[in-house]
Amino acid sequence: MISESVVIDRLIDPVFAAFAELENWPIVLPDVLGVETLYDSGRHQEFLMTVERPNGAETIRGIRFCKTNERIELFQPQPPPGFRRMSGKWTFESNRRSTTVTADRSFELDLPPSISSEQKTNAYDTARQKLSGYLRKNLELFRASLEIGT
Amino acid sequence: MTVLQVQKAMDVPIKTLCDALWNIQQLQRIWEPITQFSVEYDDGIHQECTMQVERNAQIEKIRIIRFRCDWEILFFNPDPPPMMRFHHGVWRLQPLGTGCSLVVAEREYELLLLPEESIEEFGLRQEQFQLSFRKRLSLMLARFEAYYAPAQEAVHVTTVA
Repeated sequence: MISESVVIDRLIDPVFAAFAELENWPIVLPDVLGVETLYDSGRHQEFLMTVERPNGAETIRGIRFCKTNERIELFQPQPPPGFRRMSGKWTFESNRRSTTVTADRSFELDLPPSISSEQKTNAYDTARQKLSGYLRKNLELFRASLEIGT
Repeated sequence: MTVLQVQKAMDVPIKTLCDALWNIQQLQRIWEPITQFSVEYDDGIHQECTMQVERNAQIEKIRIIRFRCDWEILFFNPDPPPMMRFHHGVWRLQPLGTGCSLVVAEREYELLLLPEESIEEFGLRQEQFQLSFRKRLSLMLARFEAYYAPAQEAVHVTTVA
């Protein structure tokens, strides 16, 4: 599992709402090319999200369970190319005037069975680094977007 | 929106119940209205499946998405039963001492207004539906209790013998 956190100098309500509102994602994150909401009750969401990646656009199907101001649980029945499984959560912790957001991800790579254990280790290390980088960047972009005007 | 809650204490260990509620194949053995199912995704914590469920002599096709968190299984139907605008809920389990558990079935739903149905008729149908849904959930919990009770008795008899 990988985990990244950011402290955002805003109260928990607008911070949670920024992450929970799917239409907000293409506004905050420049690599999100589009979001198609398939279902959204506020608490439960199903969507297609297309993101720009070095090898071209990738579309994932995501499902989220949102618990207001506590957590957003995520899994991707249709994960990005190269992944067999991707799931995780964002948790939100209020620190009076600021909010700590932590993003956790668990994943399994879609690797050929013939791969050596060394190649497998390298593939997981590379994936962890890339994913941590995306998580850090995204959390930072949400922070910047929310703190504009401070 | 209508909120329903039905609960039952059972002489069944919490893990057995939670696993049975999660495993659709086992669920189908216990709850016969599930006529067909297909698990599209299951990582042990998140699950997506489609089901055909019999209700009032009609077959309903539903898609269900579930999330297991401790002793709770939360779910929603992105494609809800045909008479509903939405349907979601939770199975909440609590340990009650040695080998016993409390199962709470909580449901939130909204029925669709039928074409040419008056508000009065809709209100009456909502009341009737709520009663029948409550009975259905109680029956489902009774089926769980009955399914595990004979097995436990058999184990007991074997031990005595």
